[in-house]
Amino acid sequence: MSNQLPQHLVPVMRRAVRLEWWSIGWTLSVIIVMGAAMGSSQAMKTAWIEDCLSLIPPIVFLGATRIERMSPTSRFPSGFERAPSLAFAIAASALTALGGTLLVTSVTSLISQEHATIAAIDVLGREIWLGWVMVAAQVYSIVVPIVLGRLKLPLAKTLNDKTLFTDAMTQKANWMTGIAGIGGIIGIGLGYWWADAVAAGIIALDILNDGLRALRAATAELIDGAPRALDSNQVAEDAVALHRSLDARFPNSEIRLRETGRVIRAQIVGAAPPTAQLDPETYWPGDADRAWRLAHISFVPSKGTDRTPD
Amino acid sequence: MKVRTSFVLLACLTGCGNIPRDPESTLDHIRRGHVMRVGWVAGVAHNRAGHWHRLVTRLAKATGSRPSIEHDALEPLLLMLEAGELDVVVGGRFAEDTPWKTRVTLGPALRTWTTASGSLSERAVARNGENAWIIFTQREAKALGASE
Repeated sequence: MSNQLPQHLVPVMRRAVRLEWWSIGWTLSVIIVMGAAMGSSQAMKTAWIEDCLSLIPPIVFLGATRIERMSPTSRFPSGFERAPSLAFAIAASALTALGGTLLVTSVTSLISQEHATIAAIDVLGREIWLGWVMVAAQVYSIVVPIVLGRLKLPLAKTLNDKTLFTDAMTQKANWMTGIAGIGGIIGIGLGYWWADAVAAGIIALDILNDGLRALRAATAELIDGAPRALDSNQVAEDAVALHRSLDARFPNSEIRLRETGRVIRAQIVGAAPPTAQLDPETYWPGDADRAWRLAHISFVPSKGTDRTPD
Repeated sequence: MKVRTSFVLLACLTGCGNIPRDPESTLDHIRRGHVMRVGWVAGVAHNRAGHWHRLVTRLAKATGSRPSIEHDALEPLLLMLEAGELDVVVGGRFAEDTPWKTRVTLGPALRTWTTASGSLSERAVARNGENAWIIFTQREAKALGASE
């Protein structure tokens, strides 16, 4: 099917898959360390829940990449090329749910004026404030997503994969949570009971914002909206250029662009197809390395139309 | 850059001494005012050899304060503690799954015994979030042989 990756992107995809497996392993280790040191700190709980939910994007990415390669069947004659779109919607929903839940928990905790108790533990006969153990766990939870997020971002851009991009954004939210969480714990240590909940609330707002932005783009994709940029709800720059180019090539026709997974599909309404058999990539206006983005062009006649391309 | 700045800020913060501190300054008030407000569960003996008496005496000595004791049933005392009208409650017995454990901070068990319906333990109780005071009372309780 047209959603098959071009040859030069296969190693990039392989690397992304490998990175996601590493990501799951490291995230599990963070979840265990954070869970062990969590105590009753709201920011720690917030960060821990976030760590758990951050498993969703890599899992759905791995699932989607496996499913999209499956051959069409009689029940799914168009194949499974839209699996990444569904994965993106799931990842975006997870991020939004995460931000919303954390915001409600932080606000509730502030309103009820919960004073987090962080006592001491004995380590090898020495009394240590549990807050320091939490800070150490948070530092570990920061390092892992910083590294993973930075590795994932360029791959997401090359593959134009929104699930992978959302995943990289989740990693960013994770390490920001870690830093704010440390601030919250130190705040408690300094006697500011509200520091913890305020830190958690600020992080939650940021996550919610990222989630809503991704969800808007995912929804647009599912209802065949124009292709959106990876990092915003704006129409993607390459889609704008393609639209302009097709407009010029097929004047007085209606150009409809939509995105399925990583690729763009164009429908030209009111123009006759060219007589010669052309590869969709020949219509791509920009960088030839990115021509794979245009996977399909279809021509739909409209009443009384017999225009032919130049 | 942001990460580096955050770590520098963090290092400055952690450089501040006396961590943790109490949001409501319980330990400071006791030390400065020389009075420790103790809730004593009514009916629990005050004998000198008893562990509650020894705990209160140790706490008073270590903070340089005298105990001001309020007698009542356990729950009214815990409500007073939650409202900041007491510093510590002694003489209470708690089941492992007591719902109070989220509203107040239970110290280590000074005594534990098992009944037909589950285990009970005697624990000193402090107000949630008063971390310096909580660590202080738990340290004194452990010195008397209390365990988690």
